[in-house]
Amino acid sequence: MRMRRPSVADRVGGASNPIDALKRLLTYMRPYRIQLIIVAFFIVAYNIFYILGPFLLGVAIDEYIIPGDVPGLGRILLWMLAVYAGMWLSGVIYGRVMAAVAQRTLQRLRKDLFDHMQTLSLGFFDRQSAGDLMSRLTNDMDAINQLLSQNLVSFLSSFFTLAGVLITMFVLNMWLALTALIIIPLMFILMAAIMQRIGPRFRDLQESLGALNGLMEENLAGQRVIIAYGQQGANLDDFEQLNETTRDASVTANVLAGVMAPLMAVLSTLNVAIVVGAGAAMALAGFGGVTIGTIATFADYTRRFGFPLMQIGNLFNSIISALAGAERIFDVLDTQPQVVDQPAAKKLESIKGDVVFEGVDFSYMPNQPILKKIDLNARPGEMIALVGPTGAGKTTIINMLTRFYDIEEGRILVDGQEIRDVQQDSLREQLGIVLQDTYLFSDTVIENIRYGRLDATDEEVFEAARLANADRFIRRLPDGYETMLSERANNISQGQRQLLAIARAILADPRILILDEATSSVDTRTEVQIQGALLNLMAGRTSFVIAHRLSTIREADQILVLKDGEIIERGNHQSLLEQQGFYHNLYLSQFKGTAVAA
Amino acid sequence: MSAFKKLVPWIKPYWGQIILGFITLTAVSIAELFIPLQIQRIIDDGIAAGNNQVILVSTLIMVGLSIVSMVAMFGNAYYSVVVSEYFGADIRELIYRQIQNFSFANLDKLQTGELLVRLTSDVNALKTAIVMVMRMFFRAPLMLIGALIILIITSPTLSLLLVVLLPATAFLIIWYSRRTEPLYKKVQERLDRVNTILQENIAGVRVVKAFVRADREEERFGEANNAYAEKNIEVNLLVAVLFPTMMTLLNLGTAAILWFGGNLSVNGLLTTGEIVAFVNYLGMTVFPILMLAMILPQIYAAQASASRILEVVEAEPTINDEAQAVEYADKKLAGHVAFENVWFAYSEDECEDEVLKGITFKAEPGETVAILGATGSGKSSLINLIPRLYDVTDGRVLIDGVDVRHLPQETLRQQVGYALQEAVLFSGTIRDNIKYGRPEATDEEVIAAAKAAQAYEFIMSKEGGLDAHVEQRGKNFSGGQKQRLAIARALCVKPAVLILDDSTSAVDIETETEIQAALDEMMAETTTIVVAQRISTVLNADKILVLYRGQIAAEGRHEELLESSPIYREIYDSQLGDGLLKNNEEVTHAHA
Repeated sequence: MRMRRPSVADRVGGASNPIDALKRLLTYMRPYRIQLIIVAFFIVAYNIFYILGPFLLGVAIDEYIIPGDVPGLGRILLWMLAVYAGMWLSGVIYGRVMAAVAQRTLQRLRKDLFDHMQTLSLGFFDRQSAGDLMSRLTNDMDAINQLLSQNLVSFLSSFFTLAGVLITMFVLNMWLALTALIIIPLMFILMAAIMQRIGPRFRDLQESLGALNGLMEENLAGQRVIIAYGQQGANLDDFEQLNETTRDASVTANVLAGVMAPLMAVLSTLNVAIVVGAGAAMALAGFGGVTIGTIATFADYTRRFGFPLMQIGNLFNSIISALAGAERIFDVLDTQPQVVDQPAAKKLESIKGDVVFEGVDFSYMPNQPILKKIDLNARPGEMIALVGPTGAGKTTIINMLTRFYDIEEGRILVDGQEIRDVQQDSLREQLGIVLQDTYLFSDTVIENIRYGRLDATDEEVFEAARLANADRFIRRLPDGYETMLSERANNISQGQRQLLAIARAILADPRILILDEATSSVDTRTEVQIQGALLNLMAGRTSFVIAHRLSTIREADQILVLKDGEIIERGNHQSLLEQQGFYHNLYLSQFKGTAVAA
Repeated sequence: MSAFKKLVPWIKPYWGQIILGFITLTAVSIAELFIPLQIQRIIDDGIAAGNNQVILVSTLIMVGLSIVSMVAMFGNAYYSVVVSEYFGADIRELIYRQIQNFSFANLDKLQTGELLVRLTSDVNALKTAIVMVMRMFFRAPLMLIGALIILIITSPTLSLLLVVLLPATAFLIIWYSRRTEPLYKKVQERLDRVNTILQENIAGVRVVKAFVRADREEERFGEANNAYAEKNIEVNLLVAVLFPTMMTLLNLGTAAILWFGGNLSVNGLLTTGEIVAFVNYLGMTVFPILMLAMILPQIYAAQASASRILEVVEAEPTINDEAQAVEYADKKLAGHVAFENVWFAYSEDECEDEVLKGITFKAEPGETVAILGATGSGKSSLINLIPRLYDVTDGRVLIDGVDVRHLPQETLRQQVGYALQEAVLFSGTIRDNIKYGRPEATDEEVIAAAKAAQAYEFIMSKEGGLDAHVEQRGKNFSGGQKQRLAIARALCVKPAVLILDDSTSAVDIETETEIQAALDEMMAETTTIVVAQRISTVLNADKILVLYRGQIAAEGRHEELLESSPIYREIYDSQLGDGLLKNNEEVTHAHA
């Protein structure tokens, strides 16, 4: 599946051209220098043997078969067998060595890319669409695979063959060699002419294919809405139209592309005919020492000449497109993480949980400030609630504290240490986060909980699950704690997923706990059950809680009311109500009608 | 091959082009077969006999043959492209059409990603296979038979060599595909694993970072990556041997021809030209077989794709219109909703518990019925039965006294406004999205719906207003904005029944209250069914159903339930109860 690639502005250090990409790929292969030398050596050897074969064939005919020299024929056949054996051996050796080199290189490239992605900041993943990233990692990697394991070698080999055949032809008989070359300019002209025409057609095709894939991707994702609104008919019409356009574009492009191969094949055959015809005429006229053997050899060489030419033409395109893929992968590799440890960053030793924000400013995009002069002070063990309308900047505050992004102005201190000066990992290890969108991995339930602390024993996992009120439903699952979770699994609900995420955070046993709408998909009855556990969990830990349901946060030591990136009110539940401000309104709106009802 | 067989009906419309494709392919093969014969004539009757005429004629014949072959090849290329593209487009449409017949239950089984793979790469695999078969597959037997006939005519003795050579080639190919096929499958499996980890890592990046698990992820990926590379190397090492070996077989054949042919020609049983022709024909028989070996993996891949496609095509849509549903095609619904002893389970599996057990209730036009209950108590399942997104297992769901199963799905759903839990928007303009369920809606109606959903203000703040662009999946809108647009979409239908499935969870409470007030006004004639987590949402409902493990545990208005239902009381307390007592004092106090 090809993803549409939006041109993203955040591309850092894009490689500039295919040659650079190729050079970089080659540096990736540097550890295999010796193997590559072996490959090159055997490609040359292979081609020498490949050319010697027809040569010996001609000799066999002229020198032995026509004169009827059977013992001589036997001797030359032994030579031929030796050549064939050499050809097999060199072919097998370079093929196998290259296969291993190519796969090892790709293995390292994939690993480097993955490991590099682990160092990138959250900003990168927020900007880059997941589909685009996956496309780079799969399609582009596949194109490089093709390039390294087949195309590059075929391309080089074709050049060697071409050169070898040409040299041999001229050594054997200059006049016939020249005859064989007559058709080459014609080949090139035709090839160029067709290429020129094919290019725009394939761009058309790519465009309509992109549109079709986009439509399918989007509508399949929204299929439930389409069903619920009974809009299948209209949807189908849109699809049919694009499907037909794409089909027609594809026919046009591919029919044009299909012209190339027969044309080249025919020109090659034509060339054989010309060479044989002219050769025969020369032989009869006694011109240039042409013999029957020469003709037979030349017939063979001429055919061998056409093939690599065609190959070079075909391969050129796919090599260029593979290098474009390589460029896109190097783009990712060249992207610098925005959040980096200072060279002298210290490890954040075990903390008490004192958090201070001092005049913190932040924006995701220039000139669109999200946080403005945020000040807050959370003492160890306190519960801080963040309240406010959607888009007020609640989650952004969390993103600052976890240092998913770096702040622009001000300071954030944890236990008196500025978080910019400590190692990111040592900071996050002391934070426990339960997020709005729960993410579970395709693994067993127990391993998903254990993700919070990898060395936890099974008993500790069960205990965490019990605290999160997840134990009961887990035990009711078909395989209990060993049940496999996957995207496809609808055996566990959104609310249950959140319980697992909470269990995971409990197991991590952090000093600072962050709950970002952690219970939004859990119904209120279940929420009450979890809340008890969460309260236990929060005791003695600093906690930051974001929730729409104000009931959740009444117990908070501090409630910060955010609006448009600013803290407009602060205090506890009681004092905020008394202020009769924004919070008061928010709180009252929750009870509209109750006053009458109760 | 059975998977291919089942797709045959869709290739039938193109029999004509397929046959033309094979005719042209045959023409190509015949033309190519005759070329070495001409070379032989030039050598034997031309050069050896010193006849210029023969050389000229034969050369011209060769030129003619290659032109014939070129034209035929063009034809072949054309027909193969046409058949594969048209067939591919047809199959894609077949799959897509089938998906349009799917119900929610079908979609539960086949994920978006899986469907997309079938529509894209699986269809492509079939197309590639068709091109391959039409261009090469049948060329092998044609060339083989043709060349064999000519070889036998030329020299039956020398042809005996083929008795050894051909079985050796065939054996090699069979051995090779037997060895590689399972390996290719393993490679694919391991590649899938690599991609799964990648995909999870990208989707779950926040979790990975929050728990500082990059090391573990690297280890996990490293293992999968190594396993994949190892298998891949294994296959590639094997494949790297095949081609040189096939070439060597061909070369050995050439050497054998020279030896035996040479001996024969010494005795005058064979001419030099015939030996050269023989060598050429040998290449012609072996090369197509080699091609076969090359495309065989692609045929296997196409077969796997065909069965994946059939998985979709043969999936029974679990919900179909009844034959007599047509009678109701133009029915205008008033919105009387009634559940009569409804039971429901997601699968017919015996061990699977029913999600709903004996639900009975009524909702009349103008009423608001709220459904409250714990996660997994069956709220969403219940409302999904109203627009017949799933079928009941037992009992009946009636609208205006008619069982929803008797109504045409389109008629039913176009009169039910449903804001789903997950607000999915489509790329296009805001206007397109709001009038999605009723494309003929006027701008006034769109604006009215947007205003009621409290979306009008932020719409107007966007550049272009109603014409502002919505990106794929509504990426350029916040969660709360998406939900409000989804509500506007539901309202714009002017539904007889409006269903809101927890569709304001990302909207702040103040806005939610405003939405409710607007709804009360706008939906005075409509039956409204609301699923909610917040008790504030349900306070004003005409009827509240408290669901507990698939059953209605209590039913009534807020104040009645506070008295009669311990479960309701518990939910209430958890959210506002004890707060409310204090709160009422506080509020009164604060107001005083």
